[in-house]
Amino acid sequence: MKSKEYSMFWGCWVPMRQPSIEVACRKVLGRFGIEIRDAEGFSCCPDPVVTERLQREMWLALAARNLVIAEKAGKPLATVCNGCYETLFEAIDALETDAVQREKAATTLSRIGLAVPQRMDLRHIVEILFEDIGVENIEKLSSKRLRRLKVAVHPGCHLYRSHTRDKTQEKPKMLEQIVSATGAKPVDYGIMRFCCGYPHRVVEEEFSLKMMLARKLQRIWDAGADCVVVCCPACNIQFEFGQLELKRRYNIAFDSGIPIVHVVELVALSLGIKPEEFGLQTHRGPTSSIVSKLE
Amino acid sequence: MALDQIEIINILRSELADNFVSESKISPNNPVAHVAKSALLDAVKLLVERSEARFCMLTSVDNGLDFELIYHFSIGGRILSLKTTVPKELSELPSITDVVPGAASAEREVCDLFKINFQGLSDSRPLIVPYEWRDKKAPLRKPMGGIVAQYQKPTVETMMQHGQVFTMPSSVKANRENLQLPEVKTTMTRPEALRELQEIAREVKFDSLIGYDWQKRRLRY
Repeated sequence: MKSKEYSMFWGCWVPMRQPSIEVACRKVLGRFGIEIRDAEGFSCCPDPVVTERLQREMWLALAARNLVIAEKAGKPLATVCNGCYETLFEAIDALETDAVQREKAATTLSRIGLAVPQRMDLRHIVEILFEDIGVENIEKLSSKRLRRLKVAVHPGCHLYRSHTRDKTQEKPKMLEQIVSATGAKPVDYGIMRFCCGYPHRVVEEEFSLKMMLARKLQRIWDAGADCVVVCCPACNIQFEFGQLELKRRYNIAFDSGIPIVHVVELVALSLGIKPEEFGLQTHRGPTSSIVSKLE
Repeated sequence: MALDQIEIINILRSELADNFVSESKISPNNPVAHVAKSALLDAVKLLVERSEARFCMLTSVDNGLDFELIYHFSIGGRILSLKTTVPKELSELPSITDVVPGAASAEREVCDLFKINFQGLSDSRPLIVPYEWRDKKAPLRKPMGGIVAQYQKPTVETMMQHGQVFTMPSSVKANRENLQLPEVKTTMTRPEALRELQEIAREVKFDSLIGYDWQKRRLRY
C-alpha cells in the first residue's frame, strides 16, 4: 500500500450539508496512513450544471484558480464528489489541450496575480480507495460486520468520466469491487447506470422525482436492497431529500425510506468504526435499518 | 469637408474619455460607438455640430435587463450609430430634442412601445398607441429578466456572495462541532479568497452577463 498525502477538495455539499462523509473519509484514509491536507481558499468547483452553462469562461477561470491552490499546496487534489470531479477533470483537460481556453484563463488569473497551474493531478475517492488502499487491504481489515447488508450500488453519471472510451467503466467497476470488499452484498437491480435525476431537478422537479428517482428506487426496492451506496453527495441528497419529496408530494414511499450511504461511510462501517463516531445519524434520511443489520 | 467615420469615432473616444464604452459594427460600413448614458447628449452634440450629422432613426432593443437605445446618424451619406444602455429599473434617459428637435417623434414612438421616459421631451403625448394605453400597456416591453432561470437563482446568488453554492445551516454547524471537524477554510470564511472570485467575475463580465447587483448582493430580477 502506498503512503500518500492529498489536498482534499471537499466541495460545497459535504462541508455544508453532509459532515458525516467528511468524518468518515478522514477516519478511513487515516486508518490507512493517507494524510489529508486542507488547503485554504477553495471556492465552489464551480458546479458543472449551472455555472458552466451560463459562462464557460467564468467556470474555467474559477476551476483553474482552485487548481492553482492545490498546486501551491504541493499535493495531488482529491475529491469525494462526482460533480467536483467532473468540473476539475474537464477543466484540467481544457487547460492541457485547448490553447485558446488556456490563454483566456491565464489572462483572467493574471488579474489576481496567479498563473495557470503546471501540475494538475486529480483523484476521485473511489480511485484512492481502490488504488492507494486496495480492495485486498479493505477486505483484510474488514470486520465482516456488513455480511447481512444487501446494497444497491449507484456510481452516478460523472464517475464514468474518462479520457478514453475504453476506460468509462473503470471507476464504476472499482466502486463495485470496493463495496464487495466491505463484505456487503451488492444486488443486481438492472439499471445501475441510470441517473438519479439530480441534474434534472433544477429544471423540472416532477420529472426528476417521478420519472427518474422513483423508477430507480422502485427497481432497488424490488431487488431487496437494504440501502443504496453512492460516491457523490449530490446523488446522496437527491436520494434522501427526493424520497421525502416523493412521499410528501406524490404519496410514493418505500416503507420508511431506503437508506443512503456514501462509499467512504460504508468502508468506515466495515472497518469497525461506529456509526455515531462519524455521524451516520446526521443523514436526512433513515439509517437505523443499516445499523440494525450490522453484526 | 465631412470627417470620415473613423475620424469621428476617434473624436468621440477622445472627447468622451471614460464615457466612451466601446466600439463595434452593425455592418461593415456601419460603426457603432457605445457611450455612457450620461454622455449621450455630449456625443450627439459632437456629431451634429462637428460632423454635420443628420439624425435618421432611433432603435430600441429590450434585452430583458436593460434597454439598448441606438441612434442612427447619416454623415456624408454613411451611417454611424450611437448606442447607450439604460437599466430597466430606471427606464429613463435624456431627450436629444434640444439638439435634434426632429427626434421628438422617434422618442415618442419608443416611449409608446417600450415605456421609456425621455427627460426634457416637450411633447410626450402618445404617438402611435391609443391614449388609454399610456402607463398601462407598452407592447414591445418584455418582463424584467436575465439569463439565470428562476430555479438557478439561489445557486448563482450564493456563489457570488460566498463563493460556494450553499451556506451552512446552524444544524450542520452544530454537527460539525460535535463531530470535531476542523474549520471550513473556503471562500465562505476567507474574505481575501472571496475577493479573488469576485474579481474574476468582474474580469470576465460574468456579473453583467447574469445581471448581478453588487450593492444589493443579488440578481436584478
